[in-house]
Amino acid sequence: MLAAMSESAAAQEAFRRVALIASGHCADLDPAARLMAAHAWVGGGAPGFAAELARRRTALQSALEAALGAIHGLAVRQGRPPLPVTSVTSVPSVPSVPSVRTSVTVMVATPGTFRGVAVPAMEGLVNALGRAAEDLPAVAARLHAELAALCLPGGAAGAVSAVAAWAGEQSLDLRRRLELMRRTVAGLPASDGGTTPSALIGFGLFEAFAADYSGAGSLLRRAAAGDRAALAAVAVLQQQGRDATLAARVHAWWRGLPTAVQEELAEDAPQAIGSLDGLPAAVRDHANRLFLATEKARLTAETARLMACLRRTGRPETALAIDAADRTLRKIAMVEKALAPGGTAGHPPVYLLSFAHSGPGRLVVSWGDPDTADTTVTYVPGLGSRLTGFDGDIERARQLWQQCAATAAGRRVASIAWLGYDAPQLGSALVTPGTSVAMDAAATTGAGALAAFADGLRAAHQPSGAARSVVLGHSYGSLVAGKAAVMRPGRLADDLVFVGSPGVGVEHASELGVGPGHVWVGEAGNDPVAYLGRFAADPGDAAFGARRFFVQRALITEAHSSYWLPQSASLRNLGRIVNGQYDRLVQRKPLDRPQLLMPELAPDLVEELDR
Amino acid sequence: MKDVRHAVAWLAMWSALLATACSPEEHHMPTITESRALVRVEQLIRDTAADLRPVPTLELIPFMATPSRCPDHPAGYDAELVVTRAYWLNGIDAGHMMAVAQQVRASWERQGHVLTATGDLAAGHPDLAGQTRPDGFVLALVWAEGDRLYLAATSPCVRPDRDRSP
Repeated sequence: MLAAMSESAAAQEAFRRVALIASGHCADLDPAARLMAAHAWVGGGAPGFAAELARRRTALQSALEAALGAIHGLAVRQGRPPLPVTSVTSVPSVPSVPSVRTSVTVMVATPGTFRGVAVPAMEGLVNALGRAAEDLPAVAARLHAELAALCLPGGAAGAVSAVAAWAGEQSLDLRRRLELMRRTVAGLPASDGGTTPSALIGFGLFEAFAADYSGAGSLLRRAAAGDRAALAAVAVLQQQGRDATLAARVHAWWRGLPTAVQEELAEDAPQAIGSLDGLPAAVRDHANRLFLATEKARLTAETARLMACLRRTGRPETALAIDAADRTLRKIAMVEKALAPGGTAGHPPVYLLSFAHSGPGRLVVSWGDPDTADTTVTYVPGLGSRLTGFDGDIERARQLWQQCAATAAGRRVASIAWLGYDAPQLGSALVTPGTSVAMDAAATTGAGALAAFADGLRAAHQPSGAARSVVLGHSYGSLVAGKAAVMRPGRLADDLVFVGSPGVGVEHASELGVGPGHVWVGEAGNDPVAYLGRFAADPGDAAFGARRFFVQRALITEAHSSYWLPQSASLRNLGRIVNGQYDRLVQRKPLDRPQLLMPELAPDLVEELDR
Repeated sequence: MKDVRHAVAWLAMWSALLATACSPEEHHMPTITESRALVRVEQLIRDTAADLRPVPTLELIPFMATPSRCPDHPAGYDAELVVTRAYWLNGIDAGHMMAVAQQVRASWERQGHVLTATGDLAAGHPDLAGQTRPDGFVLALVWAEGDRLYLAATSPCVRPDRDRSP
């Protein structure tokens, strides 16, 4: 009898001690969980790590609860239920197993798409896991002792021990990765309250938890070892635009490479490196200029060799080869000429972000550094755009940069002309479904490439809570932009602007994923492309829900390309939208006396829409 | 079937438009040259500035002084240019900007130019857009952050000077 009373008293006393242990340690993983809940938005492996951390936290609390439950059950069986324990997080009104569950609630501000991550927060995560790893083994040992003394199973102690081991492993691994990043990644701030690009956190710090559905991670590792086919395969994956996190992965991969490897890759495969979305603009520019110069030298030498061959043999096919080489050299000369004003007469440096001369070609040129810009605007051209003649589109991007820069008081603007897709062409392509301007196949393919490019701009951008991006689609390019916006809801751009649009592939502006009031449409009154429409609803129609801005009149043959005329109302309004000066747009001046005006397509409709 | 008809109509429209816009035979080369356009542009700005009280000093915006390609040039005429000049109007107080805008408007109207668009003048946004008649030069008075105004003029498409390097 006495022995039984002593045993029940021992169980009661053990319950009290274990309850104190539980109350003291049930929240050991909460600080880390809170930090991860606030940073899971960075993507990459962060959401996976946050989920695993949450699972381990639940396992810890379940183990503590199980230990308490086992002792409580024993005491009840012995006829002496434990007294309420006031120090546990939740005290029940009748004696029972107190709750050791805590809640982790954080207010997470909607992350800006260029936002970075504070390095000290990640150090805090590592330290929080480290503290848990230090404390929990002792908790497991004490639990084990208490349960063993009562002849109860020790599974709960083992579970706590496993959580401790996991926290320790993660703390060590994350600390090692953080240190490695600090040593190898240029520009990663020390513990000074600075921020680092979210890509480096998502795919650098939490790489081990990043899913690799497309196999890009494996390809990049092979590419780093010099496998050029793997590098080309990554470029192909990017063009498809299916993986919204690929550019961030590429960025983290590049920033983690030793400088010597980076230089070797840029030397060996300049075109591939130059076209990778997510790499810093300066790296892409360097690689593409290297490719341009290399090709120029190669083709010049080839032309000389062929000329000599022609003189020697007189074969007519040699003349054809000379002509082909000459055409490519003229394209290269065009690019060189278009880049020449960069850094002169008040212009910003020009960045060559992509260049390929085969087929219709690729050419992406930025006026200003997109990685440091406060605002980046990407102009997507339409029908007939190809490398030959793209200097006119580069000129449009320059005009827009000028307009923005003049009115933005020192804020940095990068204005990009983006020929990153095979735009529909004239001639026989008009009636080929895959390339016809009357079909959306070219836009669907181009949208993937545009989405990947926009991903790359974000991944490579210096962290900023205020930076903005704008996508401007012209003509068929507006359909490409519309489809890309649907692919990346809320992430393609902060503002979408369509000019001379035949439709953007959706029935209402709200389907484009940008905030209300951030879809803009400009249509010159005599622009037949905008007037006739083709691809879903007319974005200039009031029912579409876009904000229409004023565009000056022009002749019907000129209206479709009149949007960039320097100092015109349309270019000024484009500049205001890009700068975010939405209340500064100019509106059509009401006529206060009769004037002889240029005839306009559907003037009644235009009048109504402009109202 | 309806979509096919729409596609065919769309292609027909494009073909007709491009045939018109891209035909060098149909294109009339502008008679005005780059040099003459520059003189006209400068004159337009200076005439307007001279009407302002107090008379501002003009400061050239250098990156807007580069001739640019004609935005709507047809194929084969990519040498055509538009000429632009833009000048900051220095010496104008922030509180005097709306008055300056009214003076610019009056000056343009007195010179026979047409006001085509305005900012929200009631909200204190001194932005004006105009056009000269009949030669179609674009005129602009533009507000910039930092409470600055610039005055600009742009030519229609013009022929480049013969001595311009290609």
